[in-house]
Parts: sequence; structure tokens; C-alpha cells
Amino acid sequence: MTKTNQESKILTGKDYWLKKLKNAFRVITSDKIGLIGFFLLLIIIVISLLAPYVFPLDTRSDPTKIFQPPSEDHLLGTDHMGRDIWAQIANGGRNLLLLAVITAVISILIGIVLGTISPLIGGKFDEVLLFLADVWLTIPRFPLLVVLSGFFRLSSLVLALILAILSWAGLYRNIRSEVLSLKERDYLEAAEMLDLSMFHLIFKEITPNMMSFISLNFTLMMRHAIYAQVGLFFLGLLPMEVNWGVMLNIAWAQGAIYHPDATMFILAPAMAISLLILSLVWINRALENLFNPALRTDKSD
Amino acid sequence: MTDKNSNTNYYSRPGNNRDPINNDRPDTADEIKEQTEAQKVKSESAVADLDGGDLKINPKTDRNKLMEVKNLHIAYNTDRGKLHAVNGVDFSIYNNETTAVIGESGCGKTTLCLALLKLTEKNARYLSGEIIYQGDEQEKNILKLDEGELRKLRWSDISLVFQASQSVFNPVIKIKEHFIDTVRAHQRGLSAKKILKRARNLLEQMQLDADRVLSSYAHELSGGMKQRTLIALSFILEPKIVIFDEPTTALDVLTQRKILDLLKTIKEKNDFSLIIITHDLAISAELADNVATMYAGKIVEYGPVESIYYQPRHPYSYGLIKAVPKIVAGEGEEGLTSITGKPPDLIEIQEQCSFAPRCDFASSKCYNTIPSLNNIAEGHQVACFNYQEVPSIKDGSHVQNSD
Amino acid sequence: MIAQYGMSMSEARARASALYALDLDAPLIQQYFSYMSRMIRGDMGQSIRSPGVRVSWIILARLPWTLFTVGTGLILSCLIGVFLGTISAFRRDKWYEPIITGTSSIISAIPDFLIGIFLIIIFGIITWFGRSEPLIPIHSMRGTSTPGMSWDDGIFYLWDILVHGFLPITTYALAQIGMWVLLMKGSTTSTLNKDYVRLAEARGLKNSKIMSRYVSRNALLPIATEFAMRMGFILGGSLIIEQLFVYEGLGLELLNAVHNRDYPVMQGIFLVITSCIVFANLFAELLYGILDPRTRIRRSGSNDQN
Ligand SMILES: Nc1ncnc2c1ncn2[C@@H]1O[C@H](COP(=O)(O)OP(=O)(O)OP(=O)(O)O)[C@@H](O)[C@H]1O
Ligand code: SF4
Ligand SMILES: [Mg+2]
Repeated sequence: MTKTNQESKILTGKDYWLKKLKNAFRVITSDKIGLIGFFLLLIIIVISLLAPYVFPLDTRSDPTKIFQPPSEDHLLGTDHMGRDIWAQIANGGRNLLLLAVITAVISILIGIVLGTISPLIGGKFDEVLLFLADVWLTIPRFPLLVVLSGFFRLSSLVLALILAILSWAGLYRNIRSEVLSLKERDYLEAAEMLDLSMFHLIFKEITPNMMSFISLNFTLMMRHAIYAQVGLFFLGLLPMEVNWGVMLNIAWAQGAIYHPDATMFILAPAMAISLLILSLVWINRALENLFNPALRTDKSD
Repeated sequence: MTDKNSNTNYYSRPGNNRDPINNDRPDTADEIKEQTEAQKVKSESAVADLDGGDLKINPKTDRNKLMEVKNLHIAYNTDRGKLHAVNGVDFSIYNNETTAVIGESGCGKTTLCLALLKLTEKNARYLSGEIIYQGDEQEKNILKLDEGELRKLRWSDISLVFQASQSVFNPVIKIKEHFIDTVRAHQRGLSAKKILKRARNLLEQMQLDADRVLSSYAHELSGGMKQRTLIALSFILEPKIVIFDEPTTALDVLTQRKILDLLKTIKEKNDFSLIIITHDLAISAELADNVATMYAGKIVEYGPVESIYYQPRHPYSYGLIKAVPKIVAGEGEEGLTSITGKPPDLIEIQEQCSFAPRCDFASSKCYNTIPSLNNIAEGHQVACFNYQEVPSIKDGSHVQNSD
Repeated sequence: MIAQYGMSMSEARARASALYALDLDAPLIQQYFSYMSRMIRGDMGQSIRSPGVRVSWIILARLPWTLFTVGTGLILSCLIGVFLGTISAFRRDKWYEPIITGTSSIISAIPDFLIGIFLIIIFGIITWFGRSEPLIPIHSMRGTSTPGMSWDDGIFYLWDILVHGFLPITTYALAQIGMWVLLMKGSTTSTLNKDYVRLAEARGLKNSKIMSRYVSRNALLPIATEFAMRMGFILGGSLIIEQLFVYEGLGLELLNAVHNRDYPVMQGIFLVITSCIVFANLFAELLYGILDPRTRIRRSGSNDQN
């Protein structure tokens, strides 16, 4: 006979978060695929950060070394100008990742703020915003970005901003309905009565309760952002720089895609993008398990 | 008055001369009424005896065993290991008797009932034991039947009203399709008209607007209506055993009452065995002939309802009954006690009486030996070493119904 | 950049003004309304690149190719995906279940154009098993059909179209199949756990009956809606793939228009893409209302727990 009677007292502050964190760690590590995704992303981040020092880009082209197959000197071979492909791969994810994070953060901030204040203000404001969100959701994002790039000269940062503005509606709807149901459970009303500031409401009361939506949306937004960036780079609609999308574009433009010797030049960035997105998908899956215990087979808690 | 022949022809099987539920034939109805009247007198006399102080239960003679569960062990595979939800159950179902299964949440009642139809969840494993069913022809072990035989047995011999019966109807087809599907699965070539006629009859007995219900989708019915519809559906094939898994929890008191009364009339008019799982001791007192108390995957006491409620022999039954507030008004509640502690974790296998940590009567033996279910009187079994120390309940109004 | 398009901004502006028959000095909102009102009448103006050619003609000429390839890919992926998803939901203890599910989750994560690139590399570039040629003659498969062929060639033309559409269709199908498998698996699994399926079992219904009437009908509800929604993305999803295979559909036309700053064409195509999504959404809602009786009276306030 064991005494498993746990004191079901309400944990507060630090204890609460500590317990949550421990629980999160337990679930993530119990999900092997999630763990793989986690480490994959970690590796990509570390390589991206260290690359400028460890794997500097070839600054000069070397016509004698065009399209070389993988060798000791050149792990992944060389490109159409005889430059090392691995160095480009190692350096080519940094901006993509950074801008994906920026996009995700901005769109989530918009989603949270609108999703919280809209049902709290209620009335016409809420109705109009909800209608707007419905309209927003029907906008074909990628084609619109393509069209916009025909009108304006987009930069990666502007792209991130536009993408974030285009993507608030989904999270807004989730958060809004969650706030509405929280409102029905009375504790939010109690908080409201205490006349707390909107800031407090959003970041102390609502956000912690909706970490699931938020973190799931975060990885989802990053995926969208990476797709859009790489796609636009590939189509040559964004200014050149060193990244995986541009590598694809150049390889394609140089005919590397139909050139047997140059397979690596196109395969390497394609694989890199795939791995990055896969790591996000797998992390997303682990997060889903974390926040939705019903999906878990483990019924121990 | 409906056509007598069409009913009996289609719904009775060879060797089975039970009355159809559709009981508008005056002769049989009267007969049964007389029978039940006699039964009532009998049980009232037992109660009177009890009030007199000395315990004398009249055990029913000529009981026909319909089903026997022997040493049944069922475990769920979980991440933490095997969870022994049914842990050595022995008990029998008798023809035309009602058995109430009581016991606190999580003790394995639902698992046990599902096992009677071999309908447990995918992760359930039958570790040992057998469920012998005395069908029309010969004995069969339900756990050994193949899919086809099981399919035939289900609902036509044993039907089950689920615990959470709010979503038991397919949302995209109408209620009447459920009746038609059910009958056609067992009796081929029956016209929809005949099936629906019968369904209508049952629904009306359940005091439902039959035509409206039949042409509705599940979401168009209220919770209580769905529950009554399911009860009607459970009788459509005239099963020999009907299992009700907490048929009235989650319903309001008035609807509960209504369903119970309907159940009582149906039970009075028809021949079938009823197993009813309930937390409500008053309900079981009202309906049941026998009561089985379940604790931590075991049946710890089984006996006639009068014995269990006036002279429980297992400390757990005693605790359960003492924990019920008196229903009859006017008397104090000083006798009210609750059982402290929690039931054991069913994952751990114990070499002791599983009730020992919570038991007021526990002795040292209780902590190192598992008590087995023993006959202590005709039709009364208890799994407890110190059953003789359990006092009788002086004031039976704890579980007496109010009428 | 503008030099690259062979036209300066002001030049483009002047041309646009002429072609749209717009007064570019009028207030923006007025321009917009006059543009929209003509748009609604089906008049999308003329192409800048090829003056005299109406935008609506261009769209009508390109639209069928995109509809054909993306539509075929969508239908194929949905059919195969639903089949595999159902299998993997029912056969959770079989060895191939994790393979189906795992592959699906990987493949559904990879962006469609990368799948196209992988296809080209695997079938069109690498020479396998010591053969001298790759598996597919990729160069002769660019475009929508071999130049010079037309419906006059009858069955040969049809075959030619299929050959040229093969890689794009395969790409579309592969890119979506994982999503269908996972969706169908999830939907079937959750339906299998529903009380009404267990009760159907308890009622002794035949397995085939339970599968067709109780499981599939409910499990297919989200599939049907998702299919209707996806139909909306038929046109928008084709941009990069058409570029990749030089397939002259609507997407490639949009890209060319962007590179050429052919505003009327750009806007016309974007309008078609957007309205396609709007209509598909409406259709999806309608379809769900028909398929699921619960939604028919949802607004009357009945609460259902199924
Ligand atoms: N599918 C399952 N997998 C794992 N454990 C289960 C499963 N179903 C039930 N259990 C566990 O088995 C035990 C018995 O469950 P069961 O549903 O039979 O209890 P019960 O007596 O019907 O309870 P209640 O009165 O609450 O309905 C419980 O501890 C429960 O947690
Ligand atoms: S056997 Fe012992 S512990 Fe178990 S119920 Fe009886 S007295 Fe209590
Ligand atoms: Mg139960």
C-alpha cells in the first residue's frame, strides 16, 4: 500500500511554473520524435550561430573548382562559381530562422492583444473585428505576397511584417473564444472587478492559460514564414543574400537542377529546409501532446 | 390492441416462451401482476421480520441460474503497468431477478458489465476466469465465443444501457434507423414497418412521443429523452439480461424518478434479468432483489437486498449504507458517517484485504491474507474475516424508499 | 530592378493608365471603385505586355491547365490518403501502420516545391542502376504539351497532356497526401472511440455495417469539408510548382506578370484566386450543413454533446 495521496493544494507563483516546467520536460522527453525535433532545431541554431566563425563563406570564386562533387575539402562539393556549398548551408539558415521568429512573435502579439481586448470590449467592436478576421482568413497569403512584390520592393524584414499582419486572424479567433469561456468561468470577472490594467489581464491572467494555443501557433507561424520566405527567394522576388532559398534560386537559374554534376548544389539547401521544417513539425507534435493530455496514452495523471 | 400474432411470431425464439414486452394482452398482464403482488407480500414479510429484531430472510427457492461469472480477472494495459480493474469476481445472475451492483467510483463496475458482453476497451486483457451463459440451447463461455457468435448474442440475449448514454446515437442517422439496424442485424428480412411498430410501442411505454422520437436525430432529443430511447432500444429484441450502467446519473431528480418508475412497470410486466449499476442505494433498494457490493475490483458481498441493507456483513457495505443520509424526513442524522481514506491503486497487487487500510474492524490477519467470498447464509456471501462483528443497521430507513 | 523589366516606373504608369482606362490623378478611392465596377462586369482590362489582349482571355486560356493538374492531384491525394488513413486507423497493430503514419507526417511537412525538386532529382537527373539515362526524360516534359500538338491529334494529344502533367500532378498529390492520411486517421480513430460505435457493437451489428454506416459516415465529415476548402486553394497553390516545371498555367502566368509588371494581369489573376477561395469556403459551409444534421438547426440553440 502506498500513500499516493497528493495534497491538492493550489500551487502559486514559482511553484506553479516549476511544476509546469517539470511536467513539460517529462512529456517532451517521453515523446521521442518530439525530442528528435528539439535536438534537430538546436543543432540548426547552433550551426547557424557559429558558422560565421567556424565555416566562413568563400568570398572569391574559383573557376577551376566549378561543381565539384563532395570531397574532404568541400564537404558538400562546390557551386557554379567554385565556392564551398557547406559553408553556404551553414550560414544560410540564420536569417531565415531569425525572420521566422520575428514573424511569429509579431503575429502572435497581434493575435493575443486583439483576441483579448476584443471580447472584453465586446459590442460592435468585437463583431466588426470578428468579421474582419473571417475575411482575413480567406486571403491567399502566398499569392498576395507574390503580387505585392510586383508592386513594391520587399525586403525580408518587410516581408516578415506583412506576413505577420496577414496571419493574426487564426490565433485571434482561438484566443477570443478562449477568453470568452474564461470569462464565463468566474475568475476573470473577479480580476476585472479589481480593476486591473489591461496589461496585467493580458500577460498575467490570460496568456498563461493559453500557452497551448500560443506555442502551437508559434511553430506553425514559423513554418509559414519559412515557406513564404524560401518560396519568394526561390522565385527571385526578394533581394539576394546568402540563404537556402536563394541557393535554390541560383541553382535553378544556373540550370543546376538539370545538371547531374550539380545535384548537391540543389539537394543540400532543399534538405536543409526540409529538416528545419520537420524539426518544427515534430516539436509542434510534442507540444500538442504536452497540452492535450487526452491525446496521450499515458493516463497516470 | 395490436396484432397478437405478428408480435409473437417475430420476436419469440424456439424454446423461449417469455412474454413479449408489448403487453396489451390482458391475460398475461394480469397473470404477471398477480405474481408480482405475491412477491411484494413476500418481501414485505421479510422486512417485518427484520423489524422484529431477529434476522430471518426467506431465500428464494427455484432460482434459475442464467449466467455465472467465475474467478474473473481483467486488467487494463496502461503506461504504469497492469491496472487490475476486475480482480477475481464470482457471481451469478438468476432468471427474472434484479441485481444491483453498488460501490464507489472506479471500483470496476463498468468494466465488469462490459465484460459480460466481451465489449471491454481495446487495452483490456482477460487474465483468467470464465463467464458461463445459460443460453437457449446449451452453456457457453462468453469469453471463448468467436466474433460471429458474440455478435449474435449481443443485444438479442444481453443488452446494455451505457453509462454515458448521451452520445450513443449516431449523429448522422435518425433514431428509427437505430431500431431498424438493430433488429435487422439479428432477424433478417423484417420489414421496416413491423420493426417501427414495435419500436413505437416500446417508446410509448417509455412515455415518449414515439413518432417524433423516431423521426428525430439524436441532437434533437433532450438528455432524458435519449436515455429513455436507449432503454426502449435495449428491449427491442427481448433480451434475457438487460444491464443498466448508472441509468440515471446526470439526470435531474424528476427525470430520474420517472425513468425508475417506468423501469419498475416494465420489470413487473416482463420476464428478464436486470443488472443495475448505481451509486444510489435508494434506487437499488427499490428495484433490486439482490445486491452486490464491489470494492477494488472484487465483489465483497452479495446477498438479498433485505439482508444487505438491514444486516450488511461486510464492513464496506456497512460503511456505504451508513454514509447515505436518511431519506425519510423527520429523523436525525446522527448516525451518518463516511468512509475515510481512498480505495487502493489497482495497479498494485496486494496480499491483504484491499479494504483493510480503511476498515474499522480490521485485525492483523486482514493485513496478510486475502479474504475469499464465502457463503454465510443461503444466498448471502461475504469476503471478510470479521463479518460477525459488523453490527446490523438498526434504522433501515437509510435506504428505504419514501413511498 | 526596374531596368531589368525594360520599363521605368513612369512609363509603366502611363501604360497602365491607358490600358485600364483609369484616371490616375483621380482620388485613389475613386480609381478603385471604377476599377472594381468594371471588374465585376468581367472586364479586367488589357495586358500591358501584350497590348490588345484582354486579361480575361489570358486567364481563360491558362485556367484549365491549372485546374487540371492541381485538381487531379487533389482528388488523387484525397482518395489515396483517405484509403491509407482508414487502413492505418483500423490496423494500429500492424507493422505497416507506423510506416504509413511516419511517412505521412514527414511528407506533409515538406514544402510542395521541395517535393517537386526531389522528384526532378530522383527521376529526372540521377541515373540509377548504371543506366545511361535518368528514369524520366525531364527535358521533353516541360510545358503543358509538346509544341505544335493540338486536339487535332486526338488521343495522342491527350496522352501528351498526361505525360506533361505527370510530374506536376505527382507533386501536388504527394504534397497533400500526408495531410489526408493524418486527417483521415485522426478522424477515424476518434470516431471509433465514440460511444455510438461501441453501442453499435453492443447491438450486435455486423462489422461491415458499423464501418459503413457508423464510422465512415462520421469520419468522412471533416474530410468532405476540408476537401471543399482545399478546392479554394487549387489556384493559389500552383505558383512555385508551375515555375519549377515550366507548366504554363495560371500560376506561371501570374509570376510572369509580376516580373513584367503587368498589373492588370496580376490583379485579374489574384482576383480569380481569391474568389475561388471565397466560393470554396461558402461551398464547404453548405456541404457541411447538408452532411451533418446537427448543423442544420445549430442556430436554434440546441446543445448537443456528441
Ligand atoms: N480503458 C481503460 N484503460 C485504463 N484504465 C481504465 C480504462 N477504463 C477504466 N479504467 C480504470 O479501471 C478502473 C475501473 O473502471 P470502471 O470504469 O470499471 O469503474 P466504475 O466502477 O464503473 O466507476 P464509475 O462508478 O465512476 O463509473 C478505474 O480505476 C479506471 O481508472
Ligand atoms: S477482512 Fe478485515 S479488513 Fe477486510 S473488510 Fe473484513 S475486517 Fe475489514
Ligand atoms: Mg462506470
